[in-house]
Amino acid sequence: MDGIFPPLKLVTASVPKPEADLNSDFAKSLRDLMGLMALPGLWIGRDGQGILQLTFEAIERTLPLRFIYSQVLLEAPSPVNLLMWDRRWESGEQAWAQGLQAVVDTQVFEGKPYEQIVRGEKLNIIRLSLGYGASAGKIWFGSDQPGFPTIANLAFIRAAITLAGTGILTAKAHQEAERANRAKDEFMAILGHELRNPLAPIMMSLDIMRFKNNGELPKELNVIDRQSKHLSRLVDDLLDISRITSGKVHLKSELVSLNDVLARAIENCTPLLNEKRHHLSKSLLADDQSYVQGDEYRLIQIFTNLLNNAAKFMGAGGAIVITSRRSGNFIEIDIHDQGPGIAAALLPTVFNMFEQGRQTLERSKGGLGIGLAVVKSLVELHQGRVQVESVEGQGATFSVILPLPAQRIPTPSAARVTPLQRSERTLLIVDDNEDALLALAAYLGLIGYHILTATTPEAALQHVAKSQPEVVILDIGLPGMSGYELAQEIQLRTRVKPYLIALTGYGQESDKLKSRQYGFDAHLTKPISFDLLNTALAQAVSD
Amino acid sequence: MTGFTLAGTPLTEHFHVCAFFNSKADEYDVLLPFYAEAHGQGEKTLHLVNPENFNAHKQKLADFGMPVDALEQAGQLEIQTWEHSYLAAEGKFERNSMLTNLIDSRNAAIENGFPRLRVVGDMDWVFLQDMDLRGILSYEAEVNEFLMVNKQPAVCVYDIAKLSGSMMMDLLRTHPLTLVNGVVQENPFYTPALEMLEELRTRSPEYV
Repeated sequence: MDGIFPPLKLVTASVPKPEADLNSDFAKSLRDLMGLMALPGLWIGRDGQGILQLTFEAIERTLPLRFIYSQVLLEAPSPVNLLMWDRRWESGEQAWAQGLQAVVDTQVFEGKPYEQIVRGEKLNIIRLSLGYGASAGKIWFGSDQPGFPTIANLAFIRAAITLAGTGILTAKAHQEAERANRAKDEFMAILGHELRNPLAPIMMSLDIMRFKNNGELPKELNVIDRQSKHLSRLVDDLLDISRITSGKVHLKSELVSLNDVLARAIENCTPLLNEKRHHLSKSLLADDQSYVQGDEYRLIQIFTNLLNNAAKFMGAGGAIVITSRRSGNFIEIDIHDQGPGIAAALLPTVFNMFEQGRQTLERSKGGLGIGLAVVKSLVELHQGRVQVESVEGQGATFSVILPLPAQRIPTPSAARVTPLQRSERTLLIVDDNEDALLALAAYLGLIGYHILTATTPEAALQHVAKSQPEVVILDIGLPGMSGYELAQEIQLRTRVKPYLIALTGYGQESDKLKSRQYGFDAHLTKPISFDLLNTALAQAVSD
Repeated sequence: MTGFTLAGTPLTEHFHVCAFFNSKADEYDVLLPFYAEAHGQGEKTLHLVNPENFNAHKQKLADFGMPVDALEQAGQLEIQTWEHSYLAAEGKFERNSMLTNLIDSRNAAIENGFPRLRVVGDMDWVFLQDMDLRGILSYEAEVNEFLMVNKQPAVCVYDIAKLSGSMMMDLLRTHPLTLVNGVVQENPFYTPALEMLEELRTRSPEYV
C-alpha cells in the first residue's frame, strides 16, 4: 500500500491552505472524498429515492461522468430505476432502451470497467452493487474519459454508494417506525371511541338510578360508578394523547382564573381525597392575580391529573399542599405530596408516554402511564412548562409554570350547570347502540318528554313522518346513512324544523362546524354530559 | 478585538460559513446566540432576510430578549430584505453590486465605531426561478478573500430540504467553514477561490 499511497502525514484535518500541495491528484481525491462526508446532512427527511438522487448529483458534480443508471429495490417488488444522462435526470428509458439493455446485460466483475457503445458513443462503464437484502441494487456509471475509472474515481464512487446504502436503510427504518407510530395512533383513537360507546350507557344508567333514588346509590353501584368514571378518565386520556400526537387539539384562548381552575380540579378529585382521608391545603395568589390565557377545560384537566396522581400514590391520611406564586412573567403552581417520591433514575422520563407505567409501581395503582404525558403536552400547548422535583421516599413536587396573559381583565365565572327543565315535548332519539339509546330515553322520559326511539335511519324517518318531533337527538355514526345525511332528510320532511342535537364521539371544532353546516343546533360528545344535554334542551325549549 | 463564536465554536482563521438547517427552529437555535453575542460585544449585525419573514424575524430577535428597536436606532442592527441586498438589481442577483454592498456595509460599520460587522444571509432566494447560479457560486468564491482579509464573519444560511446534491457539493467548495447539525467544522472540501472560479469558467452554462 505504501507504494500506491503517499504517507498519511499528508492528510490534514484543516482547511487546505493555498501554499499546500493541492494540485496533486491525490490531494484532490482526498478533498473530494472528504466532501462526500457532508452529504448525509442532506438526507434528513428524505426517502430512499431522494437519497439516491442526491448521491448521484454529488457524484456527477465531482467526477467526469456521462451517465449514471440504477436499478435499486427501494420498495418491493419493483426496483426503482433512476437515469442521469449528461447531468440531467431522464424519466424514460425509451430513447436508448437498446443501449441501456446492453449495458445492464453485460456480465462483468464488479468494479471492472468495460467498453460499450451507448447512444452512439463509446463509453467506459463500471457496475457496482448497492447494499444488500431489502434495498439491494445495481448502479452503472459511464464516462467518456480515457482511463475511467481511476483508483481515485472508484474510491469516490464506492464511498458515495456505501454512504447512500446506509442512508437508504436508515430512511427505510425511519419510515417503518413512522408507519408503525401512525398505526398505533390510529388504533388508540379507534380504541378510545370503541370504549366510549359501552361506557356511555353504563354511566347514564347509573345517573338515572341516582336521580330516581334522590341522589343516592347502593354501595355496589357506587363501586360501579367509581370504576366506570375511572375507566372514562383513562379513555379520555387515551383519546387526548392520540389527538395531541396528531396535532388535533386546539385550545380556546380566554382569560381564565387559575383559582377557579384549581377549585374545579379539587372538586373533581374530592371523592378520591375523601376515600383516602388525605388532607389538602392551599396557599394561592389573590383572585385578581391568578389569571392566565388558556383553555379552562384543559387547565382543569392538567391539575385534576396532577392532583389525582398525588392522591393515588400517597398512603392513606397524607397531605397535599397546593401553592401558587408569581415568578417574573409567569405564574407557578406547585403541587406537593408526601407520597413515595420518584427515583432519580426515573425523573428524566417521568413525562414520557408509557415510560412511567413501565418503570414505576403505577401498574399496581392502575393507569396507562400517559396521564403525565398528557399534562406535559397540554401545558406546552399553553406555552408553559411542567417540572418535577422529588427525592425517593420524601414525596414529590410537580410545578406547572404558565405565562402571564398580555392583558388582565378578570371576567366573572359563568354559571356552569343548567338546571333540569321539565318538558312535555316530543323528542326522537336515534342511536344504533341500543343500550345507549335506552339509557338516554329513560333519563329524558323521567323529565317528562314524550320519547320516540329508533336504531336505524329508516325507523327514524318513519317517526318523523308520523309524529313530527320537536327535538331530535341523532347519533352521527349510523348504519347506512350518516347522522348528517339523516338530519338533512329530517329537515326536508318536517313542516317546522325540529331542534337537532348531534351526538358523536368527535368533538373538534371542525366536527362542530360540520354539524352546524348540516343544520344541527347543538353538538354533544359521548359520553354525554347531563349538564350540556340540559343546556341544549333548555335552549330547545326557549326556541 | 474581542473574539467571537458560532454554535459554541470560536472562529479564528476562517469566517465564511455555509450553514445548513433543517428548519427555522434549528436555524434560530443556533443563530440567536450568535446575534446576541455580537450585540453584547457592541458589534453590528447585518441580517439579509426574505421579505416575507421580515416581521417574524424581528419578532424572533425580540422574543430572545434583544431590544430590536433600540438596536436599530443605534445602527447596531440592520435588517435588509432581499430586494435591497442580494436581488437589488431589479430582482436579479448581480455579484459585483452585492460585493460592493457588503464592502460598503462593513466599512460604514467600522467608520461608525463598531468593532466588527457580522453578516447573516438567508440564501433561499437562490432557489427562485432563473437565478444566475454561476454568478452566485462565483460570488461565494470571491467573497472569501474579502472576509478573510477583514476577519469579517458571514454566515450563508441554506435550507437542507431545498438543496440538490450537486448544489451542496458546489457550496461546500466555496465555503471554508460548514455548519451542519448545529456543529461548525472546517471544510476539507473547500476549494480555493481561484481554482473554483476557473472550474466555473470552464463549465458549460447549462451545467452550472
